[in-house]
Amino acid sequence: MIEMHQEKDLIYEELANVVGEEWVSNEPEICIAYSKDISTPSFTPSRSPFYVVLPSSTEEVQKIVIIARRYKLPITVQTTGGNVVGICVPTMGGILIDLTRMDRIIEIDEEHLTATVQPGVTFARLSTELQKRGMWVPCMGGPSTLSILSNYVSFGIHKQGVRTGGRGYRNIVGYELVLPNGEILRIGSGSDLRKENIWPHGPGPDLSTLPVYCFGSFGVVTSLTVKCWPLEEELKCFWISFRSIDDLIPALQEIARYDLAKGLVFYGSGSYVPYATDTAEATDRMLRAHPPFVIVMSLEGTKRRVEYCEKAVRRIAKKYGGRIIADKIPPYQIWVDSHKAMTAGFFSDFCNRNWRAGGRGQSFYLPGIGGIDQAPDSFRAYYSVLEEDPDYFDPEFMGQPNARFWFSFLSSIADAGHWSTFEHDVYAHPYHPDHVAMVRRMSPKFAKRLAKEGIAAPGLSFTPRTGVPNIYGNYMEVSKKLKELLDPDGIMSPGILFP
Amino acid sequence: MIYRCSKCRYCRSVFPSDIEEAEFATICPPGDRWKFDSYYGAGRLELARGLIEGKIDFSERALHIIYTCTTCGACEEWCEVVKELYPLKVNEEMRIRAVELGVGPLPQHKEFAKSVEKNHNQYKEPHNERISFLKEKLNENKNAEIAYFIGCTSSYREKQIASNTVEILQKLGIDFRILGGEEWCCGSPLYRTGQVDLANNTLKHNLEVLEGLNVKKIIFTCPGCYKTFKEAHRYGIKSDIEFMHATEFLVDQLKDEKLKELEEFKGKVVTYHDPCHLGRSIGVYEPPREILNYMGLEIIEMPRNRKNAYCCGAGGGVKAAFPDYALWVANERLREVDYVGAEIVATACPFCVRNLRDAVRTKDNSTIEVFDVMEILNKAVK
Repeated sequence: MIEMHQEKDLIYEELANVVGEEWVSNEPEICIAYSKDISTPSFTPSRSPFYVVLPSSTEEVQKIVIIARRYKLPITVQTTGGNVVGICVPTMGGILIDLTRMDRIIEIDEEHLTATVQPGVTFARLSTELQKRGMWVPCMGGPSTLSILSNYVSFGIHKQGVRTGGRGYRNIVGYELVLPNGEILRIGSGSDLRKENIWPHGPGPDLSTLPVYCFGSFGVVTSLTVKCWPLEEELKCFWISFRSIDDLIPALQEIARYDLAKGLVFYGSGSYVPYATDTAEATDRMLRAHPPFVIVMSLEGTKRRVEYCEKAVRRIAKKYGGRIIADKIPPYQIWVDSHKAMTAGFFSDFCNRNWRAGGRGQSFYLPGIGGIDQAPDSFRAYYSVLEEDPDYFDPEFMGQPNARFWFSFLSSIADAGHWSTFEHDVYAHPYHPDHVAMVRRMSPKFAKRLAKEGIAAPGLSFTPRTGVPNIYGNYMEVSKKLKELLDPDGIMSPGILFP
Repeated sequence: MIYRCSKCRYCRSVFPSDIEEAEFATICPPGDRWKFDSYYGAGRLELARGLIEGKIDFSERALHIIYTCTTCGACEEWCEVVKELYPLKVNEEMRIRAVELGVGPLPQHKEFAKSVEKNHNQYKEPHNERISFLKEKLNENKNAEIAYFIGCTSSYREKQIASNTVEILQKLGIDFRILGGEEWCCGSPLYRTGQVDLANNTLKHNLEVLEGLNVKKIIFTCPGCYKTFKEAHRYGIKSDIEFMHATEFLVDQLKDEKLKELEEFKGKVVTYHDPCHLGRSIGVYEPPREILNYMGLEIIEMPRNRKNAYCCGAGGGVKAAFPDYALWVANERLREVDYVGAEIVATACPFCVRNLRDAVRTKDNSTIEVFDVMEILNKAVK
């Protein structure tokens, strides 16, 4: 057996007193694993934490935060760490809190249709238990092996159920947040009022989304209660193709307005093609044959309701010149998986089982939020930036036929269709210097172009950690003041959201 | 390659759509035990990066991380598909590098390397006792084209697997031979711990002997040996001999056989544990199950089965260097056995049998019994 001897300094000793020696380390061999994600070092710096600590309870997290505050050490929080923009990689050493050990499904409340989880619970684990009870949760487009809590408080990537279920954060019913001073904040009915999470609002100012999209800047979320949904009797998926985005939008708006589809997404180019192909050549062939714009939707409900919705959708498709390309084509399975809350995007389980051609690259994207009527402008802005770049469509770029990029434009319609998220993707190799240079070139140009169209880009882009562009008036200034109030020493995730 | 990990965490989890119970959703034994990211597939890639970039050394902790991997290959099962990354192979390369630099392997691994050199087995047992427990001199059947390669664990520790296999083959009238004193350690424990040179020598010896005897097919009951022979090409060693696990070989032989009903197993719940080197490494999942079905045994599957099977904890030199941790992993597996209410665990690997039985002994009042498929089958073959 190997005897391991760690160098023990004062902070190490204090952390070990909280969690036990087994669950804290300052060894470089342990720390290095937390120093990188796919965006580092090309787009964000790669730094190891000084200490990694694995608490098992909220009380331990509180104590760790208090120690960090006493020594003014930065804290970075990570659970499954599956992001692609460096938000859980330390900016300046400090303490990394790995919440993997907090992995309990605390409660599934079938009466109120909620589930309360600790950070280490993955989508797949929760979904497995929910399905046994005829329930599901909206899930993200990433792998279902990742933390549901981390994803929801990081806004939540769109998915099949987004139109009715809303993005991840809109399904938060309650949370437990360890603030930078070690206090615990619980909201709504989860506060001392009732001590169970049924509603998230109040009392007083609504803090129900305080930690959302803050990447740990306001504290450490140690448990989350999420809204769940009943599994429907019937599920049907439809794909309608259009020749132009201008034909597509009114059809999409009508489908949303009459509440015909639970999941509603449209995409430009062949976003979903790689899911159904197994070689780069097959992807290229299919991309050429693929319709330029496609609506994908899921019709869900009782058999009679789905029948009614199907008739209405077919009528709308005809009215706006759309063509129903197939009820079932290979990517259909993605949506079925999605209904089981097994993710609906790149890295979906179906995709991971079947998609080989795309695994070599990485998607870099700039998210946008706007009215659905702004989708054509958003798409054109995006396409024009790609078109202007000397390298992007050059098949000889890097001299590799397989290095052909593809791009995609994906829009997830929320609520009754009055707003939508726009995902503008380019695929490139995250470490090839030519690819990196190209992505760096496009990023600011595209951010400016979107802003000109009045489309919000609230967050991290190709070059993360640059903060939110200064196009929202005093919004970020007020947020910063709130941060300073809660975290006067600036120990929580410094440099991630507020440079 | 190691730079491309996107931390999708498929190296930690049972394939999501295959998860049957939230409680049994994890797949990486060292990760489950130590929890730090470095102990999972993704973290091992970062460790390799650190070693390549000179940011870290082969320290005690690094060796601990590298050598607590049971080489079960669960991390690689989906990582290969998703990202074309190979965390297990990267870990094996780190072991090889550690040996080259003289900082590896661990003392226990050096011990069994010495024993392989001296006794041709890892257990420090006299070579001339390798087949002493067999009643007949099967190594004198010079015309047989089929050879049964017994392996060290079935020769010295789990002898009943070898003797039962021999009896089954004899009852079925198979013309076969064994190597007797010419059988040396296959090299598996050496390959798994990074000691490639010595492993190559012993594997080459075995193949030269087998080819000299004009053997056309070798059957194994040890998946470690099977994997080693099957992957000989990885180390530049070529052979035209056909390799098969005993269950693969026997599943066809038994198709038309009338087997005895096994009274002692009647009404008992049986589960099958997939050995990592037989399942994930080679893809043999169904033959052992089919043989159990031939005998009228109904298998209740554990939540983690086939590609998603959880390791028993014995492989990769772990049982020798970290015996307590090996038992911890086996107990994790037994928790799953208990969960499905199985009383009998059938498996097809002497190493799994050994470690799971050791773990059963550590549990108070456990009535779980662990058998190799060959042990059960011999009772049924007339």
